[in-house]
Amino acid sequence: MELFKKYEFDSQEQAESKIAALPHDTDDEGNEWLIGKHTIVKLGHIVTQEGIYEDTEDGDIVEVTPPVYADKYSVDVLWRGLDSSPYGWASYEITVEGNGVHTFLGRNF
Amino acid sequence: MSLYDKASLVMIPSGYKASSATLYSVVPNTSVGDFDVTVDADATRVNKDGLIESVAANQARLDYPLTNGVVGDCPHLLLEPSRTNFLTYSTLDFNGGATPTGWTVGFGTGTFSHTETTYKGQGAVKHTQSTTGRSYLSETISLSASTTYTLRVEFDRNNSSGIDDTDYIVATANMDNSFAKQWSDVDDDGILEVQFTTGTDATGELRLGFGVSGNEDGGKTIVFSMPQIEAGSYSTSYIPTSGFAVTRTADTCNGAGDSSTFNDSEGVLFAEIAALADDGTSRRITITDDSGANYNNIVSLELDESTNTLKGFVINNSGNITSVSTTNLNQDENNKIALKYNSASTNLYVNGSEVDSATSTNLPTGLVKLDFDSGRSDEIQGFYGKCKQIMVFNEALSDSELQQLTS
Repeated sequence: MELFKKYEFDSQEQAESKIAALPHDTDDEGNEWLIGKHTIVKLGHIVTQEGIYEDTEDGDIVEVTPPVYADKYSVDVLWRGLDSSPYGWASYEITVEGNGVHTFLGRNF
Repeated sequence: MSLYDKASLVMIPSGYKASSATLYSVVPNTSVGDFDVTVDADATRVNKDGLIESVAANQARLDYPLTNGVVGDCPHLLLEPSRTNFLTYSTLDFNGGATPTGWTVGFGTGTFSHTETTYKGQGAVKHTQSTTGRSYLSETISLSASTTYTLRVEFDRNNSSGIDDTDYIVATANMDNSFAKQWSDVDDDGILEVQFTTGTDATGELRLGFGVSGNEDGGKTIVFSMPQIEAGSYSTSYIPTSGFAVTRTADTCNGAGDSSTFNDSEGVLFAEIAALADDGTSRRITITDDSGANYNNIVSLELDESTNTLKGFVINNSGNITSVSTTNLNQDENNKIALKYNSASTNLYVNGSEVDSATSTNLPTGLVKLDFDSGRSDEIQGFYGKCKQIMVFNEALSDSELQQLTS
């Protein structure tokens, strides 16, 4: 069983803390591993409006309008063995049209 | 009798059944020898004709090596970690337009053309700059700050012409730490691979073709295909994208054998493998008792976190460890490795020679299956790399046999 969910967190720090709170194991060298075979993709602050650039006569490109970024920090997760978001994640779920800016290979949101 | 005749399990990547997520072993030729695999639908491999093709869901990826344009005779099993292609229009489909969907022409000076073609079975662009000017294709990229990425682009050398080694054909722009690469940076197989680390401003554009860094003379044609930008210090197999970033999840391959396949008292675990990179991660192949999230009762080979390091472990029911190792292994080259264990000693052989040994008093009990990971129930330390063969012997081979096996 797998579950494809999209989330928006208030900040990268909040997203990182949510990920860190998921069950982890340590290996024989003390390294931490996320358990459960979940795949977490940090998309970050998504560009909501692309920047505008212009060619100049001397061959350079200048930025006319900078790109605009979302306030929220986006994370996509393919959960394994779960039928709903884990504790503490559900309130950050979002829905998007189509796949939004990202999907997992062979799957649609 | 050959050594193969002594083996209780032999997996030479040759047979699979996607519908049952199975990779077959040669020995035993029953379901006992089967590995359970997970592979994403549409993951890609190099097939026997040298073409890049998508596989079905849970089809073990038998990937053929390509060297100097020649496809190798025997495939390896390809197992890769999760990776994302952040370039959102990698398939280079024109969809009836003048340029590939998602790409725009930069400057557009001089006489030029972009036409749709194919390379290795995938979409490609044939870009001609007939007279002096600039007409590269660009796509917006939005990456994470202060992160290491690998860019990979394939070029069809046979259908490219007129290009000087000093011509710039790939560049990033409008972002921190931008770079430009020349035709001389493309290897003999037509592959350009660039590692780069983003700065604070990690949103800009990728440019491909002529004029990425200034005017180019006319009379040049270049064919490029399968652009990919992924986080990490090395590239992996092609991930097609068409409108959004796409993540391929990690491959797994586990669960061959049963109690009759393995011998707790003595045996050999042999693997012919190459890592994808010497990347500071732990990757294991393990015979296990399948009893929990611990390392008890295993025989395990590890491409270690430490560079050039290979370790072998034999661990008993109490967690007592016998280990052997070498620090002289080129992890990303093809290596033949054998770990022998019995009550007298544990020995590690690499490419025809014994590289380490230890007095063994920590024999496991209850060995029941072979996994391409730690053998723990949490399946950590997955093996990501290329495997040409795996063999298990339920007897301790002699020194001469181990030398022969690994030569």
